[in-house]
Amino acid sequence: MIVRRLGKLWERMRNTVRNKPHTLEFQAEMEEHVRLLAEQYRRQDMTAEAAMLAARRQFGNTTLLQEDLRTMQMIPAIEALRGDLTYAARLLRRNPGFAATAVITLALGIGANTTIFSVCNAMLFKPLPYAEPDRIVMLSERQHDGTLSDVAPANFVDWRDASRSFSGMAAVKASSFASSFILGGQSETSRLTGGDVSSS
Amino acid sequence: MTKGKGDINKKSEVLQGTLDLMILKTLQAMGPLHGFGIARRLEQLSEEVLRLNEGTVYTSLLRLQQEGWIASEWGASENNRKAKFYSITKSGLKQLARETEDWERISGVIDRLLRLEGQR
Repeated sequence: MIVRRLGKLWERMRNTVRNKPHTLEFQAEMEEHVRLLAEQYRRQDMTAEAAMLAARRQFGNTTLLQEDLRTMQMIPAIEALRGDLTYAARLLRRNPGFAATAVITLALGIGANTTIFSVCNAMLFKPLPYAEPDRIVMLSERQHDGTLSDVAPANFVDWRDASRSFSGMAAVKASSFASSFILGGQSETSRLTGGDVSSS
Repeated sequence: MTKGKGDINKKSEVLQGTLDLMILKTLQAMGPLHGFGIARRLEQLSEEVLRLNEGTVYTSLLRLQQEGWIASEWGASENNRKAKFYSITKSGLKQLARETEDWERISGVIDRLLRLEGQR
């Protein structure tokens, strides 16, 4: 039962993308019925046109039936969405000025968002390029008034040798001005920023 | 974009329900038929009391197919034209039995009720 339901749902989903041959088939079926009805009326001594007319009238509204068929075959939500999108496209085409304004606004908004995110991603969100970056911590000394300050070199050595809580420790010299190194080369030189780091 | 049918819907829904039952019974009794054949049998059986538009038969057929109570197959009709033949399925037979039971029960109750009124 559930399998059959799923099968039907799958069928409906496929019907959203492919052309529906069922519609033509159904149309042919109904036309044949009307034709047979007309034949029956002909045998009752009506003219061909009158018979056809009577047959169509007796049969009823084929358009409504086609609609019933369509309702059964599709996913109503998607068809509604498709209709709305077509309508929106039609409206936009008729108001190019408005469309242009909307596009520019969207473009600016998306562009700004993407730029800011890229910067934040590179600087804040990406983990440090080390193994197990969540285990890296920064140690500082705290003064009497509570502010953090640099670690004295002697203290660093003591901490590194005596501490058992840390698997390794390295010292980084944060310069007040970025120390620049000149990387000389055959074709071009470049200036790099860097700091002094001890091995760990 | 509303599809308001209003009061007509109620009446047509009742008729559609009984039409489903009639079609199932027709297919069970007479074997596979195409749409036109079903309409003719219904006309015969109801002795022309049922003057409905024959297109409504197709609404029922669509619904019955969707529920899986009938199956369809293309074949050749009496005058060798291509026609879609409908036949009742196993679950269709079960549904027919269920609906027949329901119908007999309801009509029995209404029958008794109406007879009761006349016994004053």
